[in-house]
Amino acid sequence: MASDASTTDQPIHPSEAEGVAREPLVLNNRSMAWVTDRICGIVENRQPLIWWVLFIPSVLLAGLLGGTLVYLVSTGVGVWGNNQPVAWGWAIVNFVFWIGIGHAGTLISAILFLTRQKWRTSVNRASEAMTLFAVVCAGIYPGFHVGRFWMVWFLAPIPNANAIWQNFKSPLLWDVFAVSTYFTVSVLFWYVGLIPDLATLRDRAKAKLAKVLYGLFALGWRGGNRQWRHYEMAYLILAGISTPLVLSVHSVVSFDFATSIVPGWHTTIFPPYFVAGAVFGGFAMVLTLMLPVRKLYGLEDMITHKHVDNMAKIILLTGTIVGYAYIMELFISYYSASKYEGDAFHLRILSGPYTWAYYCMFFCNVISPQVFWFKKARLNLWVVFIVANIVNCGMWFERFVIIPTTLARDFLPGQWGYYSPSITEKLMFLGTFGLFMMLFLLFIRFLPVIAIAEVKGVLPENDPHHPDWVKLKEKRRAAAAAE
Amino acid sequence: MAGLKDADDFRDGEHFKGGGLLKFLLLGGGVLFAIIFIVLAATGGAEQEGGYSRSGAMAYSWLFAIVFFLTLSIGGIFWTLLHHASNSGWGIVVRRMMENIGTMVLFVLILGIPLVTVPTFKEALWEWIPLKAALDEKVDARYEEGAVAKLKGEYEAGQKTAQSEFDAFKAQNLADQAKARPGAKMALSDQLAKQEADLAKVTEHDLSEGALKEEIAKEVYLDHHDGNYMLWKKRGYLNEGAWTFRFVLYFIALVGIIYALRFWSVKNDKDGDPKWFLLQRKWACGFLPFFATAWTFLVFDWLMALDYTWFSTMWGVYLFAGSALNSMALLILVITVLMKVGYLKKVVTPEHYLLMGRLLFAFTVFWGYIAFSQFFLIWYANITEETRFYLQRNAEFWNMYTILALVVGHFFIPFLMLLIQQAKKNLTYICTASAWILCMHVLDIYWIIIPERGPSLTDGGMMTIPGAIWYDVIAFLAVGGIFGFFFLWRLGTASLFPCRDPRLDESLNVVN
Repeated sequence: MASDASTTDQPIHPSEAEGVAREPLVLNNRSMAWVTDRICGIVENRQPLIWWVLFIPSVLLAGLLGGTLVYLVSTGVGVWGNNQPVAWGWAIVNFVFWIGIGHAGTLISAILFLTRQKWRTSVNRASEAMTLFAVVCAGIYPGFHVGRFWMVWFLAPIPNANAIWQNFKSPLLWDVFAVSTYFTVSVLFWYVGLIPDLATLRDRAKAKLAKVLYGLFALGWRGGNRQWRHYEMAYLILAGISTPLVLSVHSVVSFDFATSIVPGWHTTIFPPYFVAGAVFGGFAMVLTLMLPVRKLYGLEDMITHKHVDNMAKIILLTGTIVGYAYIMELFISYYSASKYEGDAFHLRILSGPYTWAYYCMFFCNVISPQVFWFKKARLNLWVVFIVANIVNCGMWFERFVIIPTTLARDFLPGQWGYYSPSITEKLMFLGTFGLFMMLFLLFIRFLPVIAIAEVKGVLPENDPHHPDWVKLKEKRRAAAAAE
Repeated sequence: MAGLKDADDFRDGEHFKGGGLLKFLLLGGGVLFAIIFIVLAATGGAEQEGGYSRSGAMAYSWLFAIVFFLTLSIGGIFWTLLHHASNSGWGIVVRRMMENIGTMVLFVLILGIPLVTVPTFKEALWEWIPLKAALDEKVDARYEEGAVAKLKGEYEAGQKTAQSEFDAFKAQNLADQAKARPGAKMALSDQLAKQEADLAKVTEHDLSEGALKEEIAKEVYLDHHDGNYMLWKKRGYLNEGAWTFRFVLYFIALVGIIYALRFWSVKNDKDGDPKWFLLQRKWACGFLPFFATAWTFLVFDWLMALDYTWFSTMWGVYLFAGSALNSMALLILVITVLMKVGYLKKVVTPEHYLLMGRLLFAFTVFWGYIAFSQFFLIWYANITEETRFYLQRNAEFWNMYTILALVVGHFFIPFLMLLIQQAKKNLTYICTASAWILCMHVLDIYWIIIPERGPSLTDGGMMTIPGAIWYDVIAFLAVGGIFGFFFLWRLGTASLFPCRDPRLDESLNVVN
C-alpha cells in the first residue's frame, strides 16, 4: 500500500494538507525589524484620536470612583445597599467579577508557557497587564469595605497595639493571602517579561526623559547571552510559581462561599468550577480589549485569526465546563433529596425573586458560547466580539446569582428580603470600569502592548528546523533580486 | 536537515508479534481466577456472622477490580480525545497506545455486566435496590389487596357526601340571599363561591388508576416506620429500569467513541489520507461532552450510589482526575516495556517521556487538588447529609489508610518524585514513579469501594470483613489477566503507532 502512494504525487505524510498544516503565528512573512517597528511605533507615534476619545471619559469615570470612595469613607459603609439578610451585595459580586477577569493573564503567561503554546506570545503582555488592572479594581472592594481604609492593614496578621489577631480559620483571611500573593507574583512576572522590550524602547527613544526612564526600568539590559540565560530561567521559575496560583486564587475565593452551610453556596464542585469560570471570563475580557486594539493599531499580522480562533475555543471549552457545573448543582440538588438544597435551587430557577438573573446567566455563559462550535462564527470578529461581551455580562450575573439571590432567601422565611444596589454601589462599579480602562489605555500608550522579543522567537527565522525555512529564504532572495 | 527524522522512513509502522506465551499465561491465569471467583461466589450465599454473605462481600471485590481497570481505559479515551481536540502534535507516536488502552473499555464493561444483572451482586452492592424492591413489594401487596378500588370508593363516597352537603348549603344560602340586605347578600354570595371552589377541589380530584396508585405508593414510601423518604424523592433517578437503561447508554457512548476514533486512526495507517485525520479531530471535539456526561453518571450510578444517601457534585471530576493520571502512568509503562523488547525504539525519544512525565505531574497535582477540595469542603461545613462518606474513612483502620495511601502515597511522594525536570527523561526513574502511582491508584479505588462493604461504624468498631481481602485479590487477578490478554491481542491488530498520520514528522522530531 505504502509503495502505491510513493509512486504518485501524493506525499506520504501530507503535513501541508489543509487542516493539517500549522498556521504561521505571524502573517505575511514579516521580518524582525517590522515587528519591532510596528510595536514600538504604538508608543513612539501620536495616539490616534480614538485613544483620547476613550481616555478622557475613562479618567472622568475613574474620578467618579474616587468621589464615591471619598463619600464612602466620609459617610460610612451604610451608603452601600447591603443589609440583613443580604449582607454581601454588589461589593463582593464585583470583587469576584474583577478577580475572575484577572485569571486569563496568568493562564496565558504561565500555563500556556509551560505547555509550549507558542500562540500566547502575541496576547500575553496585554492580558497580563489586564490581569494586574483587574486585580487593582478587585482589591478596592475588600479594601474599602472596612470603612476606614487606613486601617486595612488589620487584615494582615501583623501584631498591633489592639491585640487584634486574625482568624486563621476564616476563608476571608486566606483570600487576603491568596490575592496579595497573586498580585505580587503577577507584577513580577509581567515586569520580568517587559525587561528586554523596555531595553528596546530605551535604545530607540529620542527624548531624554524617555531614555532615562526606560533605561532605569530596563535594569541595564544589553541582550547578552548570559543575560538571556538568566532571564529565561527566571521566567520559567516564575511561570512555575504562577501556575498553582491560577488554581489557588479562585479556589480560595470559592471557599468564601463553599465552606459555609448555606444551600446554593456549599457544594464540593465550587473550586474547579470557579477556576474554569474565571478563565472563561478572563478570556472574554482579553478578546473584548484585544480585538479593538488589533484593529486600531494594525496588529492583524501578529494577532491573527488563529489567535482569535484559539481564544474562542477556550471560551467554548470553559463555558461548557461552567455549564457542567451548573447542571451538576441542579442534578445534585434533586438527587441529594435534601430539602434545603432542593428549595434553594427551586427558588433560584423557578419561584424566587431573581429567577431572571439565573436565566440571564445560563444564557450568557452556557448557551451563547456554543456558537463557537462553528468555525464561521469563530472567524467572524463581530460574532466573537459580541459573544465575548455577552460572556462578560454572564460572568457578572453568575456572581450575582450566587451571592445576593442566595442570601435573599435564607433558612427562615421570616428573614427573607430583596436586595437592590444603592446608587453609590452602581457608580462605584461604573468607576472601576473607568479605572480599568484608564490604566489599560495608559499601558498601551507607554509600554509595548505585544511582547516584542517573544514574538520574534516564534518567527520562522528563529527555528533552524522550521520546514518553511528554506522556502522562505528563497522567496526573500528572489524578492530582493527583483528590487 | 541532519539529525532530523523523516516520517517517510516509518511509513510501514511497526507490528507487534509474539507475546504468545504471555498471552496464554494471562488468559489462562485470568480465566482460572475468574472460575475460582465464580465458584466461591456461587457457593457463598449463606449468611455469615456479622450479617453479610460471602457472595455479597465478593460483589464488592468484583466492582473494585472492574472499576480499577475501567478507570485505566477511560483515561485512554480521555487522552485520545484531548490529543485531537487540542490539535496536538507531540504525541502522535504514542497516540495509538492511548487508543489501545481506551478500547479496553469494551472488555471491562462486558466483564462488568454481572454487576448490573446478577441479583446477588447488585443487591449486595447497591443497598437502594433491595430497599426499594421491598417497598415496591409492599406497594404491590397493597394493590393486590384492592387498595386502589378501595381508595377510589372512599374518594367517590367523599365526593358524593360533599356534593350533597354543598347542595343543601346552596339551597339554604340562596334562600338566605333572597331575604338579606344588599351588604349581607354580598357576603353570602362570597361564601357560596368559596364553598363551590372547595367542592371543585374534592370533585376534580384525579381518580384515574395511575394517580391513585401513585398516592398509595407515596403513602407506603413515606410511612414513618418502614418507609424511606429518600428513595421516594430519588425514585425518578434511582429505579432499576432507568438505572439499567443508563448503563446501556454509557456502554454505547464510551465504547462507540473510542472505537470510532481508533477505526479512523487505523484506516489512516492504510492510505495516509488526511481526511481521516480531520475526521478524528472534528469528532473528538464533539465526543467530549458525551464522554464527560457518560463517565460522570456512570460513577454516580456505580460508586456514589454505593451509599444512596451520600452526594457530592465533585464526584465525577474526582474519578476523572484519577483515571487520567493513571492511564498516563500505564501508557508510560507500556511504552517502556515495548521499547525494552525492541519496539518503538527509533520512534519514541526521551522528549516524549519528558512530555508524558509532565502530564503525569500535572495530573498528580490536579488529583490532589480535587481530592483535597472535596474532602476539605465536606469536613469544613460538617453537615450530617454529607459527612458520612468521610466519617467512615477517617476512623480507625481506614483513617491511617487514608493518610498513608492517599495523602502521602498518592500525592506527596509522586509530587516530589516528578518535580525534578530532567529525571523525567530517565526511563527507570519515570517508570518507577508511574508504577508507584498505579499502585496508589489501586489503593484509591479500594478506598472508594471497600469501606462500604465493611460492617458499619457502629458495629463493634470492626471496619473490615476479615479475610475478604483475598476475594479482592482473586477478582483483581481475574480481571487483570483478561485485561492483559486483550491488551496484548489489541497490540497486534494494528501498527504500534499511527504510521501514516500527517503530523508524524512533528511528533518524531518533537523538542521541548
